[in-house]
Amino acid sequence: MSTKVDKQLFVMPDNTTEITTLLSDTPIPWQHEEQHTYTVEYYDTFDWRLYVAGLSIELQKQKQGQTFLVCKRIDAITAIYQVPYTQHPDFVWNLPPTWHNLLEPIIKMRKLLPLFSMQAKIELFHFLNKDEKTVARLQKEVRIITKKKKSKLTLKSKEMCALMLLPLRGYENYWLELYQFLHDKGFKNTAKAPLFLDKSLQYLDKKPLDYYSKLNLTIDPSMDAKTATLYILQELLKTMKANEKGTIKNIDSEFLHDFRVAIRRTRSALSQIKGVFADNVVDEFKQKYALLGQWTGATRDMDVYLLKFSAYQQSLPVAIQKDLQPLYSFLEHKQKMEQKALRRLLMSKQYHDIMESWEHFLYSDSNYKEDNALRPITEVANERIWKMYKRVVKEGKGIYDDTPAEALHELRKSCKKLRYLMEFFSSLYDKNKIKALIKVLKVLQENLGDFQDFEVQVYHLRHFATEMREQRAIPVETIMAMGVLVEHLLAGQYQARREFSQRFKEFILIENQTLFRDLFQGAK
Amino acid sequence: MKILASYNIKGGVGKTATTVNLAYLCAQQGWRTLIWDLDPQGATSYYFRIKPKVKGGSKNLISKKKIENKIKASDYDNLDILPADFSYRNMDIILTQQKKCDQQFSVLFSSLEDEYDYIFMDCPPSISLVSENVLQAAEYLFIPTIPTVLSLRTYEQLQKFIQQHHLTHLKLLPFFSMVDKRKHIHLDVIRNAQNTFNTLSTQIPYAVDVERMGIERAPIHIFAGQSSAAKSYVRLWDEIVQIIN
Ligand SMILES: Nc1ncnc2c1ncn2[C@@H]1O[C@H](COP(=O)(O)OP(=O)(O)OP(=O)(O)O)[C@@H](O)[C@H]1O
Ligand SMILES: [Mg+2]
Repeated sequence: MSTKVDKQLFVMPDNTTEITTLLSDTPIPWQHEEQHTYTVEYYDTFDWRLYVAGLSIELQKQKQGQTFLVCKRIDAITAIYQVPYTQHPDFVWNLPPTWHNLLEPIIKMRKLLPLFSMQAKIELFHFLNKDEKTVARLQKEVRIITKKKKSKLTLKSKEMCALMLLPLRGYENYWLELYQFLHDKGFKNTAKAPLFLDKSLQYLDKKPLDYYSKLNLTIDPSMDAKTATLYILQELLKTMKANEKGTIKNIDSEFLHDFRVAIRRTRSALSQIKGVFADNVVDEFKQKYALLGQWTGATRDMDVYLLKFSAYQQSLPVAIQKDLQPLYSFLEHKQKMEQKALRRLLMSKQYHDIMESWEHFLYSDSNYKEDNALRPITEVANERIWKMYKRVVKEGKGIYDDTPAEALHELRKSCKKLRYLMEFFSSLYDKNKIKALIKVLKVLQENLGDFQDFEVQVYHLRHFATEMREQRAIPVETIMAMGVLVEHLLAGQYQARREFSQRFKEFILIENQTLFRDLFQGAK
Repeated sequence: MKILASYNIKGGVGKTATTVNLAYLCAQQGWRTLIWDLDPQGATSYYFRIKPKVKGGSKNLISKKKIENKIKASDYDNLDILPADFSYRNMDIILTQQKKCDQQFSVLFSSLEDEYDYIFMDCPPSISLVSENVLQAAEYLFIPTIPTVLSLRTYEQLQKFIQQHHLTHLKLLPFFSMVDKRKHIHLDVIRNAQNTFNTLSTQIPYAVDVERMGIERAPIHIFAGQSSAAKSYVRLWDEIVQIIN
């Protein structure tokens, strides 16, 4: 018989109950392990990936003793993983290998950053059978979170407490007996774990998901175009600001990534939401943002190659995989140089001035005399999206199997503009419909993206090979392995080109066309 | 999931001490670890204070192929035990009744794939259908060997057996155990054998602390973590991990 153990927890509203007295007449003898005091430090990525996945990672430092790294579900009592640990957790590839399966798809390239820390006092009671084997445990856990009082130097703290009866596999009967015992003592039980994390965040006024990398704009359909556009641009500026520090410090590659996406979106919004701002203003900031795009490009490229590296290596026959290694060192070095340059630029007066003038423009009240400025945003959005959609269809229809690559690159750009427009204004439309259409577009974009990316990668790899040879003696084997890689990439590009016509056919299926028309031209 | 076994045709060479200590170290590193105590005498189970009893015995285990509900938690994180049972002494008979009678353990373990990263088997000495199952299922074999001429001959017998049965997947990890540095004969044998037999470089010394495991009923690292024997088990495990990865 196996007993289903789901209610492990007892509510203990305060810390006053003396457990040893309470346990004076247990049916099973116990041994008290003296109280351990820990510092518990919570970790998550900048964009709360663990929290979103319902997980937490804590580093538990025992005062004068071992440190453990613990991974839990936020609402569970027992750990999924727990290991002695001597470092600070950072990237998923440095975590214990056992953790990778679960955490790699969640954390990916992001760095784990310390969220906050608190004190924990853990007292353990081991219940023992005749052989002095532990058959169940009772854990009393007190967590103390401290914060500075606003504008004062005094500290305030909050105590949280839980009593947990932990079963041991194969000894559930003992657990059941003890459960009954505690229940009879008047303890109320709950199946839910104490949400130490949530309660602490609340107490510290930290808001989970205060940063979220997906665009999340809510535009009121009654807004005029200028108000809505300013709002979009202001939100994008916030995203840039949120990622500025992490980009400069190169905490992980995703800061720069999000920073750049916000730059591109800003440029796109400036040029695609037409007739809202004066031409000279648009031109001025388009130029400034083009400059920001240039500044950040090279570092991002290197980040991408570093991230791709292991996939590159695995795409090669096992026998020559290690030959590629010098490329990694080369990329790593190059990334460092580019990052240094970028850092300097982002700390320059020129950057500061660009951002200041932009912010000034976005938050100052000026007159908007352009044609579209005071029209309802819904109208303008419909018009712009519909126009861009028609352009995509037209450009795509002009592409045959022997059309030169440039036409596909142009189409890729148009698709991107369309995608950004749809994302800016998605809150104006039926949620499911717009989502479905973005998905349709995304499939086409992926194909065009592949086609372009493979080409760029081939181009870059050839350059890298030249540079590497100029810098120092590079093994012939490495150049040869890069050759094999280039061959794979060219094959990939060829494949993408061949798939294009089918993908485009799907994109312009009658039902998709109808959906686009209904959604963006419905008013007409 | 990696499957390892501590095995030697000879008895009393330190198989059980090896299993208990290495599995403990493995679990300490965060790997989800299971030990199967295959010896009907139940020494491993004894060290972990677990009753050498499995519901339904060998018959239920082998013919029903249900293992999950027989596993017991040890007192240590990440370390579980499938205990010994007196009925294991008749396991050969039950194995004979199965189709593919030498691959039953592999079948049993396949259901544990998601639950454990490492499975250790502690085997009784001798060659039997049980040990054939062990050799089929395991990927790595620790072979504690006392440095005597006779022990080396036994090791050669094992090598031959493995060759004859085409157990090419098995990686043999012989190492010297219960080494007494005061005995010239031990040192001589080691000097001569290290090259010919490709033994691991770590040796486990003869040490009272290992014997004390029977009194303390715990892995050596719990009560004598700083002892030289405990440290040599740490080195042994490090060396094995290097080989496995
Ligand atoms: N390194 C050592 N130093 C001293 N004593 C040891 C050492 N290793 C094992 N022993 C002792 O030798 C005896 C046999 O060891 P162990 O049970 O580990 O061997 P085994 O090969 O598993 O035996 P069996 O074949 O009976 O299963 C035990 O009493 C153990 O405490
Ligand atoms: Mg034994």
